[in-house]
Amino acid sequence: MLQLVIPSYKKFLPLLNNFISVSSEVFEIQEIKDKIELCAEEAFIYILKNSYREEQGDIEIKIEINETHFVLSFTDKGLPIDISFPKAAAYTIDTVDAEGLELLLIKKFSHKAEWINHGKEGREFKLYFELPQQAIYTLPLPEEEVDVDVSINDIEIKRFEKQWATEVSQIIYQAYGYSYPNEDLYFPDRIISLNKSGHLVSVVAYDTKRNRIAGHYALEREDLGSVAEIGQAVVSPKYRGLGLMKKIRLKTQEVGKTLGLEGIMSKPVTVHLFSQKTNETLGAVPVGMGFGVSPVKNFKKIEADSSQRGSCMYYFLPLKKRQRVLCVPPVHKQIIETIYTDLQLEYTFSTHTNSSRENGTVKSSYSPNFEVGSIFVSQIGKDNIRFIKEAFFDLVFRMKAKVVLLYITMEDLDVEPLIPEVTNENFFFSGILPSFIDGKDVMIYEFLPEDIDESKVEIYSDRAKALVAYISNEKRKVL
Amino acid sequence: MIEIQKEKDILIILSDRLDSMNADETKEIVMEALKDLQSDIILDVTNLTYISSAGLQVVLKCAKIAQESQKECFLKGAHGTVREIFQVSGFLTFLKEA
Repeated sequence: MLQLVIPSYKKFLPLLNNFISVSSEVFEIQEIKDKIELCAEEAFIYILKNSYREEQGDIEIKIEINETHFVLSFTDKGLPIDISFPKAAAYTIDTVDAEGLELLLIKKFSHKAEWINHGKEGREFKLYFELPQQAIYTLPLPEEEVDVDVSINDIEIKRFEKQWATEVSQIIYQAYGYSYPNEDLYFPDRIISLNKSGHLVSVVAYDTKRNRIAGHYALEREDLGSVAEIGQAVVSPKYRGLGLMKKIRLKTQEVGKTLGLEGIMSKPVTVHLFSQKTNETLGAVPVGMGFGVSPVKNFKKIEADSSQRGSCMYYFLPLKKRQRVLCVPPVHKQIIETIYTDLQLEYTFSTHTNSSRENGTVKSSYSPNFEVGSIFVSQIGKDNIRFIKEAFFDLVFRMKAKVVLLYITMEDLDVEPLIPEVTNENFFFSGILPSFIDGKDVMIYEFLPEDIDESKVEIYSDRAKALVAYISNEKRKVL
Repeated sequence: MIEIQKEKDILIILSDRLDSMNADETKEIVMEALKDLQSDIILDVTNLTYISSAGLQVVLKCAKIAQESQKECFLKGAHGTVREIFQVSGFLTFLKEA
């Protein structure tokens, strides 16, 4: 990571330009240097004008490069500012929004721009620029073979190797078209680099007779933490009906164990039962429900409801056991006990009530692909609610999040005083996730501005139905 | 850098960079040159390698002065990222390309 701290004066702009210029050269990304330099100037000037106004302060500028993006961030501790992006460019001379030009150019020339509230540590404006790579849909697809007689005896389930990246992209593209929400899989180079860094752990079904990929599953480890999300499942149409999906998934779960993960989570959509059934059959336990958390409205060959956002069951498969001491609000103690009993994880409830500290830790982030905001309370403190409200305001009113998920640690101090405060803000209990933040178990609360028609939600098992009924009742209390 | 030639039309030649560091000074020069405007304006950006929103404000000022004087403001020689910036900001909807 490269870092530069400069005072909030315009005369330091050339220093910023040099920083960008040298970094572009070092990272060999001159192809996109112009766009980065433009966005850097716009972000710097926007913060000077709006956050510091004529006041003095510092702006910390960081550059990181990962497998897919050049990431440029600006952190300041100035005044709260309006960070809503202009919706459209001018269409006549009289419709030019002169004040909004900086953010308009950032929106147009960066791949993604997000504001992250770090509470007392300031506010971060983070800009992502895609590294130049070739998407699979720009490459020709292989010719279709006719009358291929495939057999399960020819299939080996194994860890990903880089020479298969293009084929993995191709079968994802064939199965999902452009609709798969995680676009990384459309880029063979990204599949290779993400697997290299460990952020993606792919497992494939390999047809040894024809030397080609028949299916794919993966563990996603965005933060390389102790819980991975399993997904990105696809089986090439010619290989359907051989039970490959289950075999690849079992191997992927085994790989998760060898990586030392505490568990694997999964978020199957509720427009069909197949994925939920797979989860339950392979030992995963329903731990929550996310109403409207998925933007995906249409699925191939499934008659889905396209009038509303999708909902997901949350499943968790424990891979490791440890003792945990949980602080939970009495109102949800019974349902939480039921979930932990199903998970077969050992736990005790904390007896230290009324314990508290002044300052807690709250962070937030926004996922534009899903239009979902997340707020993470990793340390309980009396000031939690203030930072939750600030983050909530940013996510809903500025980033236009359709849903906000609030994760509250259960392995810290007494959470009880915080719960009425968050329910006052219309968050409702929607489940738990073991080991989710810094290896600690969390409760999930959800804010849903528009209710979901639950008649379209299909749930597979009786225990999942009971959990969804509980969460649905909690939802009704706040909506 | 800015150079102004007053002939049949007013030719404003912008070159190198037009950013937050030099936009205010450039704007003053332009406003002085466009006082009592009697002819069309041609903004020649053939040798302009970089423009930011601060630079766009200068261009917007030229276009507005032209509009108020019932004259035209033309853009000449925009290419590469500079042209893309004019395009995505919507400026090509009111600047005619010469």
